[in-house]
Amino acid sequence: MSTEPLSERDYELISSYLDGEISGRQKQTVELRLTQDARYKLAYEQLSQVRSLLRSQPLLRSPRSYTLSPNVISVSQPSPKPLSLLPSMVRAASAFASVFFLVLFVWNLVSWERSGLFALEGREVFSQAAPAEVAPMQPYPYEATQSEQPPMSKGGPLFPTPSELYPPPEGIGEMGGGGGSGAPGGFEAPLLAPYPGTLLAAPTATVPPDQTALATPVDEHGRVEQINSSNIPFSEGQARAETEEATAQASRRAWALRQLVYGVLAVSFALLALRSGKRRT
Amino acid sequence: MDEQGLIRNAQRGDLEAFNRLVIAYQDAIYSYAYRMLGEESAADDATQETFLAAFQALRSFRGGSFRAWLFRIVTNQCYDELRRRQRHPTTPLEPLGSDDEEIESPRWIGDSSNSPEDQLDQQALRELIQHCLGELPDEFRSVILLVDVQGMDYAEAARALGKPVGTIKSRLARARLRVQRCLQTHWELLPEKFRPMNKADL
Repeated sequence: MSTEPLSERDYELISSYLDGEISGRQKQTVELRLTQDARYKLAYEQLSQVRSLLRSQPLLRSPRSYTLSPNVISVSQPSPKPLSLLPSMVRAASAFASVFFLVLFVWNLVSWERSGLFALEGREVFSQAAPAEVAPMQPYPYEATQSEQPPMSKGGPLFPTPSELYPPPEGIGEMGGGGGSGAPGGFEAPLLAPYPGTLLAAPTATVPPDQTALATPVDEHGRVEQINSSNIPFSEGQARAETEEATAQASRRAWALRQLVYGVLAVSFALLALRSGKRRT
Repeated sequence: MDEQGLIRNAQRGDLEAFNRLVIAYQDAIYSYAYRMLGEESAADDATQETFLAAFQALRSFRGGSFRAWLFRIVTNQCYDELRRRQRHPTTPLEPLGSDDEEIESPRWIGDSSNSPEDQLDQQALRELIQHCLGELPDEFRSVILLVDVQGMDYAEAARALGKPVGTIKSRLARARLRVQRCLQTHWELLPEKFRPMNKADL
């Protein structure tokens, strides 16, 4: 017979054996030890006695009836209402916020097409294509009648002057003057010259050849001749186009960010409203 | 009508059907609450709250043992009360009745044909058992009450307490061992027929 005290595991096996809640193999083990170990058998008898005592205990008679009446139920119903007030407010506020951000999302989407952002996008395209569009000039209508006065001298100009179309960059006059053959302001001279006999003539000799790339080529009537992007590198038009393009890109990024924020907030508040609604149910 | 039929009708809002279930279980629920709390007024409150909560949550009952479902509710009610007592300890000297007067003993459902002497012996035994149960940790007391007093099997007790069967086995064995040692300590209070058979081993 073992002199060691029984372990908690031993008591657990004995307790389960008493209730018949033990597997076949464990049952054989317990029954074997009951025949061999007196301490094991004593523990079995003690637990069995406790179990019998407890099972012999009568029920306590309830002091009154606990049947429910409609009054008791109706009185007990309002009590959880103060606790459920907060979730319902959260649900309503979440639903409102979700709708609000959804409206902002749609409004932002619509305003993209209507507002200047869309126009900026168009201007960007125009600015990139501008040189190609301006380049093919129409023949001057007064080409055949050399004696006639040019329309500019009669009244208001029909065509804008080159300086209106392409105002010279600052300081270009001074630079042009330094490189010419004694003819100051070579760029201005053709504009002030009398109406020439031939139309679409080459620029006058007063414009130095090395400045043709900087100065806008015009004929003696002040019309723009051939313009393409290769003729006006780093012109103000291109600089402005680049600035507009950068502005447009920044605007698009801001617009996309706003759309993202509105969308995420709308979905988040909608989920919150739905989840608080489920909790209530 | 059988229990399942009463439950179905009660789930549809039939208060009369639910009250028939209340009558069937109120003694068992009250006994359990009293032994868990050791106080009649607290047991009364816990029983009332249990049936009220059961009626309000009856639609969530999805079948299985209705008894285990009810005992889960009353166990939670008792745990709440015991936690409240730990926060605000107030220990009455004697249990109070519903009329706030001290009572000597609650009313037990027993065999009235017993002799007065037997009834006194039974009374002494019940008080000692209640004392030993009161010494147990709450989670041990609930297991031993469900299995040994209410007669549940391990699986039903596991459902009632929301614990695995292995936990029920372990807690029950330890609870029985503690009650057995408590009874040994106060063996002289027990009627002779209930005394341990081998005092030398105690």
